[in-house]
Amino acid sequence: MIVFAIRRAVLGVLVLVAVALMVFVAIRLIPGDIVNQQLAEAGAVTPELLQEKRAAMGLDKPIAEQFLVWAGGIVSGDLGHSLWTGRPVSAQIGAALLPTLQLSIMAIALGALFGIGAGVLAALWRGTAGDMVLRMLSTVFLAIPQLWLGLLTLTGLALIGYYIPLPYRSFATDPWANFQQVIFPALALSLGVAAALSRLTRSAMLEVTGADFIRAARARGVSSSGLYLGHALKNALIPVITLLGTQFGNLLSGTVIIERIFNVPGLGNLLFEAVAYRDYTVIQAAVLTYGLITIIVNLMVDLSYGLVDPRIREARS
Amino acid sequence: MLKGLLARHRFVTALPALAIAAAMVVAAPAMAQDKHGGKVVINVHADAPNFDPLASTEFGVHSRLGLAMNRLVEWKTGPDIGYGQFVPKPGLAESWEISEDGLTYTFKLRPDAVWQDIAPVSGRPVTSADVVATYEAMKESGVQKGLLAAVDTITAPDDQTVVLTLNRRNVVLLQNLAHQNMWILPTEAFDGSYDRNTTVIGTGPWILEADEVGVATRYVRNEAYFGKDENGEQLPYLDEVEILPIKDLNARIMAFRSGQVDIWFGPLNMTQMQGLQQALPDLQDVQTVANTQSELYLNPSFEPFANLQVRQALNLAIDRLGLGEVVRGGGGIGGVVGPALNAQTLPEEERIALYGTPDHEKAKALLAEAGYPDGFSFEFTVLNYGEEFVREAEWIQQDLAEIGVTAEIKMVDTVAGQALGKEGDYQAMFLMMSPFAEADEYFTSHYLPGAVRNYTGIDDPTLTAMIEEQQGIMDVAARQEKIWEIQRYVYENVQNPLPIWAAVLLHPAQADIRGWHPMITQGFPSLPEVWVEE
Repeated sequence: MIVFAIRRAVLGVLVLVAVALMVFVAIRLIPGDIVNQQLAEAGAVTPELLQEKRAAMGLDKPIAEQFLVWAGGIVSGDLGHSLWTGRPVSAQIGAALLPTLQLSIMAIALGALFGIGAGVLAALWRGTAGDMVLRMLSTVFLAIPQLWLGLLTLTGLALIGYYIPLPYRSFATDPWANFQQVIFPALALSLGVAAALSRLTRSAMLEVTGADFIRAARARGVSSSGLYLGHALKNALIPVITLLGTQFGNLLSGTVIIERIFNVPGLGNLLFEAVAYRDYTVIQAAVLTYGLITIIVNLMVDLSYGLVDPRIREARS
Repeated sequence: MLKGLLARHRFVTALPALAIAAAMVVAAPAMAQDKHGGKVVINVHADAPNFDPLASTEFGVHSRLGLAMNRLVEWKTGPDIGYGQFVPKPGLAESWEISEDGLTYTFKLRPDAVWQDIAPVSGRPVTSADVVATYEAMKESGVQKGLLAAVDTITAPDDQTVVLTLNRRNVVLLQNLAHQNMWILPTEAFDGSYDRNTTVIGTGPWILEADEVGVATRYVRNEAYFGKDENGEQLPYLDEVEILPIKDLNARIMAFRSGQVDIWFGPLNMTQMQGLQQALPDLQDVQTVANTQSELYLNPSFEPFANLQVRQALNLAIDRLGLGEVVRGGGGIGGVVGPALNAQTLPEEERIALYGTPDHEKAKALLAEAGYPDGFSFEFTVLNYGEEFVREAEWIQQDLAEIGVTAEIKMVDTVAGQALGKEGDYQAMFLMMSPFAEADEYFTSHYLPGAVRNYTGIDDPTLTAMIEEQQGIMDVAARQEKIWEIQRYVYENVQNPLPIWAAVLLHPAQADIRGWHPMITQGFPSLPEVWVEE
C-alpha cells in the first residue's frame, strides 16, 4: 500500500513538472505582457520607459533563462514576487487558497450528498415518475454551464429580495456572513457534480442490486434499507468515488468563474486577474497549486478504494 | 445582420440634450442638516495591485490614491463644471505665477498642509522638498515621465516655494501637474524610509485605514486635512469611505440594487441602467459622454490602407450616428479629440459633417480611384472591451461590406491587442482610446513619431510641428484655433486612426447621496464635498 502511494506521489510530481513547463511557455506565447497593461492608460509613456520596466522584471531575458530562474526558486521554496503587486506570490496564494478550499469542499460535500442521495432514490424508484424527474433534473444540471447557473442564482436571489452581504468576510472574522457568502456559490458549483454523481450512482446501484450476493442477502431476510445502504450502495461506490475525484478537478476549474460572480477573493479570482494582467509568476504558482490539489485529491481517491473494497486493499498489499 | 434587424433613426436632435446631460447632476435640495458624518460605499471594477503612484497608470491605484493624496494643482468640481472641463484650483500649491515668457512656474505651497500622522512621516508639515523629491523621481523613472518632459529644473528656493523652469513653453503644464497620476509624496517615500508599494501617506481628505485585496479598501476622515468648503466648513464631510472591488457586472448590479453600494463606478449600459431604475426609482441618474472613444486603426503596411483615398472611403462608409443610437443608446460622435473634451474637440456640427455623414457612392468612387473598384478583404482585429464594443465592430463590418470591403473579425484580449498594435502586427484594429483629459494628450500619443499610441507609424513633419506649436501658444483663443486646425489637418491628410464613437457614461448614485459630481480625472475629486442626506 505504501509503495503504491509513493509510486503515485512520484508520478504526481512528474505531472506537476510537465504542467509547470507547459504553463510557463504557453502564457508567454500570448501577445502582450504586464508592462503593456501597467502603462496602458498613459498617453505620456515613452518606449524607453517600457523597455526599462521590462528589464527590471527580467522579461527581456531569453525564455529558457527565465524558466531556470523561476524553477530554481520553486525548488528552494520561493514562488517569487508578483509582477503586478510586487508582493510575495506565496502570500497571495496562501490568502486566496482558504476561500477556494472552503468553497470547493462545501461544493463537493453538497454535490456528493445530493448526487448519491438522488442516485439511490432513483434506483429505488426505478421506472416511476420520481425516477423520471430525478433523471431529468440531472440531465438539466449537467447541461447548464456553471457560469449561467451562478448568474441565475444571483438573479434568483435578487428576485426574492435577498442579497448576499458585502464585502467578503472570512469564516474566522464573521461566520454567519461568511456562510451566506459561500453557500450560494457552493450550491451553484455542486449541482453539476450532483447531476453527474446521481446518474452514475443510479446505474451502479441498479447493476449491483441485480447481483447474486444481493439476492442472497434478500433471501437471508436482510431489510430493504440494510440491503440498499449496507450492501448495494457500498459496492456501488467504487465508480462513484472515481467520478468524485475527477469532478473535484472540474469543480476547481469552475471556481475561476464562480468566485468572480460571487465576489469571493479565492484562487480562481486571483488566477483570472493574473491572466488578464499577464502576471506570469502568479499564473504559474496558481496553476501549480490547482495541479497540486488535483493530484492530492486523486491520490486520496486511489487510496480510498482500498477502504471501500477489501479485495483492492489485499491486491495492493 | 444587426443593422437589418434594427431601425436606424437619426438622433442628431438628441445630441444637444446629451451634451447638457454631460454637465448635469441632480440638484440637491437645500438642507439645514449638518453635512458631516456618515459613510459612502463606492464600487469599482479593479483592485489596486499596489499603492506606488510611480509604478503604473492603473485606474485601481490612482482612483484609490485620490482619497488620501493631493496634487500641486487640483481639478475644481461642482454642478457648474462639466465632466471634462479642467478648471484649476489650488491643491498643495496655494497660488502660482507663470513668467511672461511661459518658461518659469513659481508655486507657493499652502502653510496649513501636513502629512497624515503615519510613521515615519508622522504629521510633519509639507515642504517644497517633498514636491521636488516627487517630481525628480517621476522625471527619472515614473510613469509620469512624459508629463514632465518639458520641465528642465525643479528647485526649492525656500520651504514654501517650488520653481519649475521649462526647456520649451508648454501651456498644458498646469494641467499636467493636475494629471490623475501626479500625486505628491513625502521625501521619505524616496529615501527608503517606507515602502510606497504598501504604505500610503498623503495629505488628502481621508486616511487609508485598510486594504484587503479583492475585498475592500477602507478610509477614515483625516482630521488634519486642509480643505474647506465655500462656507469655510471643514472637509471632508464623510467620516468613512469604502471602495469595493466587485469585478463581475451582475454582482455589481445586485450590490447597487441592494443598497450596499452608494456610488456606481464602472461600465454600465442603458439597458442595465433601466433595470436599476425599475428597482430603485429614486436613484440619481448622472450621465456624461465617456472620456474614451472607439477608434479604427488602419495599418499602412497593409497595402490598401497606405492609400489616403482608401482611408477616406472607409470613413465615408461608416454610419456613426446610427451606430451610436442603436448600439450605445447615446454618447457623442468621435473626433480627433474626443467629444468629452467639449471645449477642445471640433464643434459637434463639424464632427457630424466630417465623420457622421456616410456616403457609400462617394466611398465606392474613392475606392475605384485608388485602384480597388471591387473592394478588398482585410483582417479586422477587435479588442474585447465587452459586448457593446464588439457590436460596434460588427456594425462597422456591415457598413464596410456595403462598399465592397470585407472585414474578417478576429477577437483578441486587450493586453494582446495593445501588444499587436505596438508591434504593428495587424491590418486593421478596433480599440478603445485611453481616457485623455487634454487635446495635447490625443495629439502627442497618436501622431508624434514613436509615441505610445502611434500604432500606424505616422511621421508627418507638418503635423509634428503643429503639435509642438500648440504646446507653446499662451493665448487661450489662439491655442483653441490651432487645436481645431490640427484636427482638420488630420481629417484631410491623415485619416488614421478613424475616430468612431464615445459612449454615454452612466454614474448612478443612491437617492440620499448629495454633492456627487463625476469628473474625467481619476481619484474622485468631488468626494470631499459629498454628503449623505438623512
